[in-house]
Amino acid sequence: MKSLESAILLLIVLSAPILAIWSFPSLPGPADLVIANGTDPGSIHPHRATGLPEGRIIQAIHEGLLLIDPRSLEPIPGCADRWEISSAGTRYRFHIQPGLLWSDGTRLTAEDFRRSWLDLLDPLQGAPYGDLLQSVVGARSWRRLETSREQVAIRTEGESILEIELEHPVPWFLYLCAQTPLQPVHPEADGRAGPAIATNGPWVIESWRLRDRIRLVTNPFYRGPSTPHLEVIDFLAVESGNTQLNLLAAGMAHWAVRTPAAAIPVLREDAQWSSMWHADPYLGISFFRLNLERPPLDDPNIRRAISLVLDRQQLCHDVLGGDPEPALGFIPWPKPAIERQRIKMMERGLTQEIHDLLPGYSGMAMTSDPQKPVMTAAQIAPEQWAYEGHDPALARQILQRAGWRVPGSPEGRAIPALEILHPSSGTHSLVAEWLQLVWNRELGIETTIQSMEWRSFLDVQRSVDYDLSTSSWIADYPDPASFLTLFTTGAPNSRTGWSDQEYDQRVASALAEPRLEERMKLWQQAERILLERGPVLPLWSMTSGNLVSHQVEGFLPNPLDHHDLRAIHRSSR
Amino acid sequence: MSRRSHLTSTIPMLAFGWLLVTVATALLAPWLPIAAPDAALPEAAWSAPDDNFLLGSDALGRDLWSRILWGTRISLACAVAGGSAALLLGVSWGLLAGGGSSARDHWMMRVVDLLDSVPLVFLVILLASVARNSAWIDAGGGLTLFFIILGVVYWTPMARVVRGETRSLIRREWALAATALGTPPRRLLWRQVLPNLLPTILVTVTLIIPRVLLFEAFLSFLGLGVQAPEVSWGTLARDAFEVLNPVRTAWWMVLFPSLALAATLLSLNIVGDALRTALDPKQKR
Amino acid sequence: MSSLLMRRLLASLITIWAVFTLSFFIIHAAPGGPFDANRDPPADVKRAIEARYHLDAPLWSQYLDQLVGWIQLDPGPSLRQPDHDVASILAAGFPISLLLGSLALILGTTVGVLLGILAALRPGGVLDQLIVVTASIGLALPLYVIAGLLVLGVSFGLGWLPPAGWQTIPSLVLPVLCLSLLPAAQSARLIRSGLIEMSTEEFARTARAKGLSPFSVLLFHCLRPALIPLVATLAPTAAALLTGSLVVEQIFAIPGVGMHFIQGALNRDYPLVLGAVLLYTVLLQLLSLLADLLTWILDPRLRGEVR
Repeated sequence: MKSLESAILLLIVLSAPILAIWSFPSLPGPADLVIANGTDPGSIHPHRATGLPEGRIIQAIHEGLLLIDPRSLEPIPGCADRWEISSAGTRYRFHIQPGLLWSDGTRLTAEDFRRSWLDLLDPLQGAPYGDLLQSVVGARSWRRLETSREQVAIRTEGESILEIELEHPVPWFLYLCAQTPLQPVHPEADGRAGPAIATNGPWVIESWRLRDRIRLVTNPFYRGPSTPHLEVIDFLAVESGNTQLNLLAAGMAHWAVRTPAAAIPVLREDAQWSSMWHADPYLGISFFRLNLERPPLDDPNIRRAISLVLDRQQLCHDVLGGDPEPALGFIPWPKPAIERQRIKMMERGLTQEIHDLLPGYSGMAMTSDPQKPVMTAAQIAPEQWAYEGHDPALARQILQRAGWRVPGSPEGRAIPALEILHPSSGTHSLVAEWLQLVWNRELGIETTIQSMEWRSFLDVQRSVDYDLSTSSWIADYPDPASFLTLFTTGAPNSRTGWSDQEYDQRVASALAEPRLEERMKLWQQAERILLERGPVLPLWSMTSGNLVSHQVEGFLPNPLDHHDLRAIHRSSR
Repeated sequence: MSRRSHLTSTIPMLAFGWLLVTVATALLAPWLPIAAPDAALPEAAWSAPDDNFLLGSDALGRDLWSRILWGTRISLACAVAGGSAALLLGVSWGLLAGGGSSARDHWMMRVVDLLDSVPLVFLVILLASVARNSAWIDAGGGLTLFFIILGVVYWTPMARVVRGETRSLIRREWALAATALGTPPRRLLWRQVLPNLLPTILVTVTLIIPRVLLFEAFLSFLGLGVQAPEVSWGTLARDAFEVLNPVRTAWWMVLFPSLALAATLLSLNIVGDALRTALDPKQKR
Repeated sequence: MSSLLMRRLLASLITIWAVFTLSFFIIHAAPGGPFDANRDPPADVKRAIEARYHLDAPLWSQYLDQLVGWIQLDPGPSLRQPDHDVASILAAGFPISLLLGSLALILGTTVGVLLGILAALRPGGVLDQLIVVTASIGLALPLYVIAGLLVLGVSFGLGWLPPAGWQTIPSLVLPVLCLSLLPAAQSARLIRSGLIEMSTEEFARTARAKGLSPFSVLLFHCLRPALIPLVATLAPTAAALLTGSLVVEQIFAIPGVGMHFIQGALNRDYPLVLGAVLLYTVLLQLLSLLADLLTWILDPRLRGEVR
């Protein structure tokens, strides 16, 4: 009995270490590049994905027809090694590089692109970016189920030629070809994505552990034009900007895509951090989607009032850390940010032209070439926007006149409470709390705040189950179309259920308008309708905020916040 | 050490003093000359403790000192509400079980056994998740529901103690005599047994209250308890961890709410210990 | 003994079933129901969910379906992460929490037992009082207070250890340290009082009378019986570790079961939350079963009683 007891005691004493040793492999070990990617991605299937965190991963494991040069933002060869555009700008002919392979070793051909693109367009698939290719001849009518898949003008010739015919010139079409939704999908993917599904990029997924990381390793079957420098890449699912910052500061991550607003002034000014801090002008707008079907937001007076009481200058300066600019409309307006960037450069003794110093910004310069996309926010004169500034007294007057009860007058109906939905992160909840305070103080509106993990948030936003929800939109290509097509009737990413015929008409005629000046005028009218009647409450014009370790080289600032991992390598430092 | 000197020795008195001050400031918070807990001054966000902000300010420039005081109100209200719920439920359950037939005693205590073997903390998190932003909360019942949850978790120890004491008390001579004289059992329980239980109940309450306080902090810290714009010690700690980084360390946001909670918990434990020694001469430790 | 074991096992199964039933009905009592919180989910998602959970079936049939699913360890997909099913999410998180927990248990108990012995050497001495006070503070404070102070001091102040993450061995240190405080304080208290009690017993006095030093009497005669209550508290300690891991995994961004549980609760991902609750229940039942068995084997007095 004595020996049995001792044996049992020994077993207990040893069981904990045995369990510890058994579970030790759950510690993943180091990687060449660790990206604190913000959040657990939703789907990383090119047709299903929508967010930036997904986009970064898809860019690494897939390769499109073209890539975007992070230096100049010009399209450069990807799977296609050359291409021709007809003089009318409506016919594109791509030559796929021979010998390309999927990561399972099978051949990749022009047919793979044709099938993937048609799947993207397929009205029954309901892809969130299904409308990207709707200017292709036959696409629109198929999406309305009037014609069939075979009548869409995406054709192949042999294994290597892909030919597309457009209804009208689309100046940004080459940019589209580099976008994640247009990247080829393996024939057996069947809507799935993950380690088991073959892809064609320089890296493949080795493992995916929920709420932890996606680990990429180099793809042995990659035959494309890039030579990747990194062997193992970790995308950490770290939602909190604060945790990201901590990981970076401790050397456990090399690139943090989000930082807490409070730290930004220090990151910007402290010499220890400022060389790692990339707050660059950015074609992104931060706004709230409004649910126009629920009271009280169905009342335009309420919408006008909740916008009027916001001191966006204070929001940008005191709450957000000072980098973003107040949003004056729905098209982001990065000009002040570019100006500030220029001043910052001059203060550091760099007097060269901003375009030389900030590669990629040349893409934003004015141009009269109708073939070239232009980001023309600055062309839409700001003084004409529907933005009315900050005027709480006027807001209260408007509400009072509309029969609502506001602080200082006991008459009228009480305003129903609002719910703010936001994805969990420090900055979002800070903004939500700020809004809660301001609306309560100035208008007596009660609000509750609901925060959710990114994926759940997207689900709820897509099903329009919110009053107000945190949103942002980032240009896919440098043209206002990227923003203003978002809210046309039935647009898959609208997530508001809003529909306005006049708006739809303006957008449609702008898309078909080949003359630059005319197009911009139409965009301007469309934007005005959106601001006056639409489901948006613009807050600020974004700046990208990346904190990048000194060990990372090849990280170039640009207004699309596009950082291809193909160009990035680790320095020996 | 005599009982008397233990009670009056300095440390328990200090602890008791701290509790008094905490309760008093919490009750008086609306009339104290401090900023409102939701008065935001974004231009003064992240102030370290100084003349304007005694304990510093938070991300929206709200006064931390005021927020801690207002947080005390909610945290203490939780403790009191949870403690009372545990008191009511536990005492009645224990009395009914201990004073009833042995069959009733058996099944009532089986229920308590079952509840004790269930990991209630996890079930409560499930409950909090379901209740969160549901119609219950919208109806303004959020905090009430939360209080009830807190009480439900901690009533079983009370039921056990009361039941045990009751069983031993009703076998005492005076109780047997009263029964023999025709006192109805219910009257015996509530009029004669219950008053004799008071010291035990008091001691058990002092054990339960810190646990409720801790549990409130735990749930709110995880984001499943008190929701903004309400503030409690748990949500203050949660806010602090959102901004705990080496670049711009808002140490005051971590330190002061933690200190308030720690000092109160320790005081409660010390006072509870002293009470136990004073009221329960059998207890040796 | 086997009938005792059977009774004990049955009780555990009943507890687990009760937890399942309670959870199931809590979820279904949610206003609006759990699965139509989204007014209009995408059609394919809705179809998948309905097929999976048979939402159109009557409640009792849903209940039976789910019960059978869980018994077969096939609880179905997560509500919020449709690409992952609940079983695989928990299976991926489990080794992480296990590593954290077992290391904390080893560290905590070792340190606790050592401190307990130190304290019992001279009851009432300075060292004893110091250890007793520290242990009560350790038991009284919420974990996040300690974690916050450790991060402030060790990570930011001294810059020695990473304040978050799950990558390499240094990232383990702070979470394990935080989590080990509770078992350390608990075992230090238990061992101390056990040793002090034992040293007044007959056998200890005899041993000392034979000329053994108080230290070796403590170590060689009293320690073993004093360890028994430690085994008996295995289940509550494990429970404390599990609740502790919820906070620690949040603070240090560690993707264990606790992280999935809390994030699931915040996102109203009910299948995942239910899965975690059941996993915790089964674990705790197993541990308390084990602890009962061990005390029974290790303590001869109890054995007589049961027979």
